[in-house]
Amino acid sequence: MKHHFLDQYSDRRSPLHSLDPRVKILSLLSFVVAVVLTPLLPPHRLLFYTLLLLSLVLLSRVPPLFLLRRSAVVLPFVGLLAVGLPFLGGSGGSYNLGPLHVTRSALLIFLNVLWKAWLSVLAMGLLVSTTPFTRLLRGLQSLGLPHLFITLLSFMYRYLYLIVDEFERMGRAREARAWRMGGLERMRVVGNMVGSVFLRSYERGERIYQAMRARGFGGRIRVMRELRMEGTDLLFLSLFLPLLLLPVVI
Amino acid sequence: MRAVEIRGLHYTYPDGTVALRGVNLEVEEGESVYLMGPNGSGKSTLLLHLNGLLLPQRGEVRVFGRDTREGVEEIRRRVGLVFQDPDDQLFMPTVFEDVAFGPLHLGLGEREVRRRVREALRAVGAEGLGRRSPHHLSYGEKKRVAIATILSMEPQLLVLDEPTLGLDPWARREFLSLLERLKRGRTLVMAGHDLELMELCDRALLLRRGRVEREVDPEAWGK
Ligand SMILES: Nc1ncnc2c1ncn2[C@@H]1O[C@H](COP(=O)(O)OP(=O)(O)O)[C@@H](O)[C@H]1O
Ligand SMILES: [Mg+2]
Repeated sequence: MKHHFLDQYSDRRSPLHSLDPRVKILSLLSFVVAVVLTPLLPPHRLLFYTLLLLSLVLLSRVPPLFLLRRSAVVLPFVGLLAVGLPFLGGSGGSYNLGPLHVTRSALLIFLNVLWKAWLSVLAMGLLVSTTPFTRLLRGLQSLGLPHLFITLLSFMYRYLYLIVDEFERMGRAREARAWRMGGLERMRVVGNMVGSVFLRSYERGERIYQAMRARGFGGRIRVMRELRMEGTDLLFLSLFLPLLLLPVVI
Repeated sequence: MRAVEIRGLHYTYPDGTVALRGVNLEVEEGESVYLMGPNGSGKSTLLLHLNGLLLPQRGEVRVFGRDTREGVEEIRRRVGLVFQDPDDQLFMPTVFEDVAFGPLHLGLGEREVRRRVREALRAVGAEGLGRRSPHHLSYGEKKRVAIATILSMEPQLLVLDEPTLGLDPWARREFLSLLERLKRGRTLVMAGHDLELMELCDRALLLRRGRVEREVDPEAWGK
């Protein structure tokens, strides 16, 4: 079975896809920092960053709607924030929303957070959709992320799919035999399924460890350094970073 | 020198399951041997002893003259073990990294590692799969890549657990000819219950309830 939770579209071809992952990670970080440090008003600066990001999205050939939908993960947090708005004080005029009063400054804070969070998440989504997960890990590793962390993530990436498959298979087997189950009964069965997937994963872990030892593993995973910066990577960085600074001077 | 020499091997799992009760086995260099036996007869347990993943509780296992209890590093260099389930065998995020895993942990340099990965993938007909993730491969492709991960270590003794199990008839056919090619110039030990695969081998042994019951003639079985 094929799943793509993490890096759908990352195997396409585009100028963004072919960049060195380190270049993309650094660009993302600088982008987020620039966005976060930029004041909301006057809005033309954030607007500039938004347009910059959207043009990268177009350049990436990843369906824009896919990225936009994915960036909607910020919405629940924004909703949470919105609930607190009426309780924020502040000066300036205020607006009536039904029985609630929201001050102008509270509204500005809200807009500020919403816009910046959305931009950051969209940029992150763009990175993940243009970089296969393994290249991303390579990039993070050569930028100095701890070895153990990288190893952990790469095993997670490899076996997440397998565990999901196992769970789905069991789910289908359950549906095939007991499609009319009461709520309580169903919960019990799901509980059993979780337990048994856990047990199987544990046993698989032991077999994988054996397979690793059989190939000379002695506690530390060795990998090749296979990233190479090319001319286009440097070109991208030397264009992108000054662009980020542009709003500061205009 | 004999590739494998096993005498009076016993093994009981921690939960009390007796898996091997007095196995004797000899494999000459350059020979291919098939271990035939029903599920649960102890084939996999026996294979795990061949590169010291399990150590004998009673009896002894010698591989290329060395007792596995006296250090396994050299033995693992020379014995390549392919597990039954390719999802256990392929644990790295990409095929390339997986095939490179063995050579890298043998301490080889990058150029040599790349060369070996290329050759191992070519040997199993999996050129071009290098950048794929194992979870995007078909079962037959996984099985082939699993063999490549071992070939890249250039082992002197190749051990395969149920190599054709779970393959569809077409994939199985390709696999049989792959194994026939692999057996040339190598010492090969395989386990399973595939009669055609057995016929490819020089010798076959019937394993039952943790013992080698008897030697069978690979050509004459079932005829
Ligand atoms: N990890 C384990 N723990 C306990 N018992 C096991 C384990 N692996 C295998 N066994 C048991 O050991 C016996 C031999 O198993 P195995 O070597 O896998 O046989 P085969 O490969 O011929 O099917 C079986 O009874 C099996 O249930
Ligand atoms: Mg077995």
